[in-house]
Amino acid sequence: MAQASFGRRALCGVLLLLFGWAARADAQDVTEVTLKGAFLFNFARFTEWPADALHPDTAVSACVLGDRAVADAFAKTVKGKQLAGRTIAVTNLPPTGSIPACHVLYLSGVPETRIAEIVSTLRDTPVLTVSDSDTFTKRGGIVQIFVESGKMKFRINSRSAKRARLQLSSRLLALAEVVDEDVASVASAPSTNLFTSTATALASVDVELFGSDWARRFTAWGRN
Amino acid sequence: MKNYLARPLAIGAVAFTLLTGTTTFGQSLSELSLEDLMRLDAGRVFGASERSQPVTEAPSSVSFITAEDISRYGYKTLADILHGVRGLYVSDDRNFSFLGARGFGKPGDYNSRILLLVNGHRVNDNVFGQAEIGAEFGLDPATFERVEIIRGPASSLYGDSAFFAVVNVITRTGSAMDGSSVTYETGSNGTQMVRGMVGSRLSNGLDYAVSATVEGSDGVNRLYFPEFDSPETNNGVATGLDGYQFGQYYGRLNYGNLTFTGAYGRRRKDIPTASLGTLFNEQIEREQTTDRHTLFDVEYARPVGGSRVTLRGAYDRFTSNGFYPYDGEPFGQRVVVGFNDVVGTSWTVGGRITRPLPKQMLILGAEYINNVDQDYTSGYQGLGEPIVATDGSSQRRALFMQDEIKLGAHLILNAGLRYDGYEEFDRVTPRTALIFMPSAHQSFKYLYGNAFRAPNVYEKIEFYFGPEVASLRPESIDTHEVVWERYTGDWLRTSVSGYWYKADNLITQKATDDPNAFFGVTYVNEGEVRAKGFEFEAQMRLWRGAEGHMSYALQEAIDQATGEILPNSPRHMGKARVSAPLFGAGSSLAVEVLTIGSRQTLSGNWTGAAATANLTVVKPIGRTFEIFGTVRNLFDVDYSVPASQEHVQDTIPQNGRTFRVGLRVKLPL
Repeated sequence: MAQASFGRRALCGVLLLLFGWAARADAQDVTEVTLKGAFLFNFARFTEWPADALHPDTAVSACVLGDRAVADAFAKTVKGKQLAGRTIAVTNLPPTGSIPACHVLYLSGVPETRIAEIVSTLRDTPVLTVSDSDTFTKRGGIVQIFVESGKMKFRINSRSAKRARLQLSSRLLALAEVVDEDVASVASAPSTNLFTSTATALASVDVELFGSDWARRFTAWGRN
Repeated sequence: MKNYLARPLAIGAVAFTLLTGTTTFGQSLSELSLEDLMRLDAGRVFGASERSQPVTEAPSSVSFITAEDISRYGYKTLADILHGVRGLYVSDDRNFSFLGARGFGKPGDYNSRILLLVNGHRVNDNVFGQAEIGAEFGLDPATFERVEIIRGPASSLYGDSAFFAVVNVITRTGSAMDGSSVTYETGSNGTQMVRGMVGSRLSNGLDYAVSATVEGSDGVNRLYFPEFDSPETNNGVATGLDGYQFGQYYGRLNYGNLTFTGAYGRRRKDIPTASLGTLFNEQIEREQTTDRHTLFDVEYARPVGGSRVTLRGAYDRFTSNGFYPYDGEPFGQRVVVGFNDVVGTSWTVGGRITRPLPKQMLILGAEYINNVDQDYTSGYQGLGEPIVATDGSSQRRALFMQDEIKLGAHLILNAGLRYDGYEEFDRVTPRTALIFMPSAHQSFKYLYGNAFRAPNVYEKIEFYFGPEVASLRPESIDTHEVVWERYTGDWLRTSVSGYWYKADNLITQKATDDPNAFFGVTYVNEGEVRAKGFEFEAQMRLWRGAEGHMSYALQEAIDQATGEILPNSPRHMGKARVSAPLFGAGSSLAVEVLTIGSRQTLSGNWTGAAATANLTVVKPIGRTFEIFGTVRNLFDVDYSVPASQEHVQDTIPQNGRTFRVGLRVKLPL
């Protein structure tokens, strides 16, 4: 009885949606990829490069390695935008080969060892390195983006930023989880096979729980 | 009945047309501030693969509800949350809330075909296998960060109970709470609630969150049940027997790679329905149940090399005590009180490694569950020994793996397999998904799944159901599903899904002549059901912080033995919700409309279709105060849901219009 009309209504609903869809099919999407693009734009916006690294009349050069979709989204975000009178040029880098001179470098989907290598090469140069790799700030990278509780967040290694002579705005730092880390032990433990990974993890449970590092950090908190 | 449905649907359709016609949807992302970007949902799901991944890549059709939704729509229980989700429906028998999914919601099934997880950890009890979703769940939705609904079978990852869907509740961190608050609420039926919360992340990285909630209510004072309408039974009116009290306590501590979660919840509920043949409107020895859930969970997760290693240990305890007043005349008393005491305790240890390989993502895991108590005791108070005293325990071990393989730039093959070793049997469960992603914003999925549900301890009580239940086998399901997910513009996420389910050997209650079966019923492996359906969902980010959501589900679940649609299986469900910050920043006006088609009762009658609406307003006053109010069932629609065999009633009436108002005082730390 009610079924036919129900079906019609459902169909109407679908049609309405399709209509809305067609109306704006050209715009950007709120997916993780486009969020990353928008975050990258904001990171660039709140960073000041040393005068010798960025002349007032040159464009800001942004490079993306290992994630074409993010490169596209980033390019779309910065289209027609300026940073203190400068335009931003986004380049999608091939997965292998050397890294050209960039002001912003986003790394994703490349092996951890390669990330470590790139970060250590760029350590003392004014490049804002960004990645979604789990251990990025620990390896000396500057900004690590991650998803927590469903929202995109970021962590900044202030020590790495200082070494790179980048001035990050207080607004950016206020929104970030700021860490001050030297290049940690992660870099020196590039375990490659499943069994050694597990063994290392098991061993480190003990260190995490009872080790000196934990105790040191805990007592440091007590003093604060 | 038709009118009930027609009006809200028409209003919804008109509202939607207006919205689409007159507004420019959402600002482009590049116009949003970083603060706003950090408030947007990144569209990730954890529970589909036991790793965080974009919804479009998940081997399931996924929905999620966020902490913002919970506060805007005034959700008070997990049942409230799930009732608003595409294709799900909740039936409340005025004691427990039962979840229906994909056309399966048979009255009397104890939610044992839905797997409920808290932060990825199983919390279905180990006696009834039940996912408790009302206030008896033991966690306050105010402590939820997110609820993920992962449709379809997932036994290839989780084993038992992941039959129709997995519901993963992710709880709040201290950094998400960021401060402390005290909330007081009061409302219809003498309801009062107090909640205190505090949470923060300290500069040394220690993140802590603590919450305590206490609520009490008198319930609906007069409930009329025509089945009991005679002078001896108060003319069918149960007076003052609908009240409840609960306490819900939650704590979470995170330091570095270590997370500790603890929760305890206790709920006591009076039962007005005189279920299980008890005396109607008995005021002194009330029919009542008390459920308690305790959870301690320690998780250690860290990256090792390129992998992520997670180790976990958990302790769960569920207890339930029921009191049932019966006519005491045969024993020379006015009333004899039947009771049952249930204790389910388990220890779980497990671990998994998530390892990215070139073009692959490999997950390997193992789990061991020691059910140290699976005890069920029942009898009559003061009449000697209990009549049933099952002192059970069991163990289970499992190994699972899942591999996501990138076949070219646009295609992902996701294959999973899990082995479960029980004491009486072994199961191997597969799942496969083929996901085609023409772009980062769109995906087409074909999903094949298989799942099982083991007979639970209750179903195997030989005293109740005869000796044959000892040979019950797991029931199983095979499913095929096609999903199309798409992100459009800055504002729209749509998901379309069509499925075909084949469930066999369903553990089904059946009458028996066996004199050894105390209740005259037994459980047999004989139900065969074929279900198919279509679901559609759209999630919209509208203008200036307004958001909308609509869904429609069409489903048909047929019992092969009778050729009929299953009881409590509505053919249609339509849901819509819209919220907008109409009274300034941080405020919201939210409306939810839920329509559900008519459902067959166990005796073959049909309940009327029902459309109900809920309205919630939230308004901050300065930085410290927030007032809010919710009206549920705004138009006071009279509707009921099919009752289970435990009831004389064919249907159980649901609440009419109720309201709640509250004040929250927020204090920075």
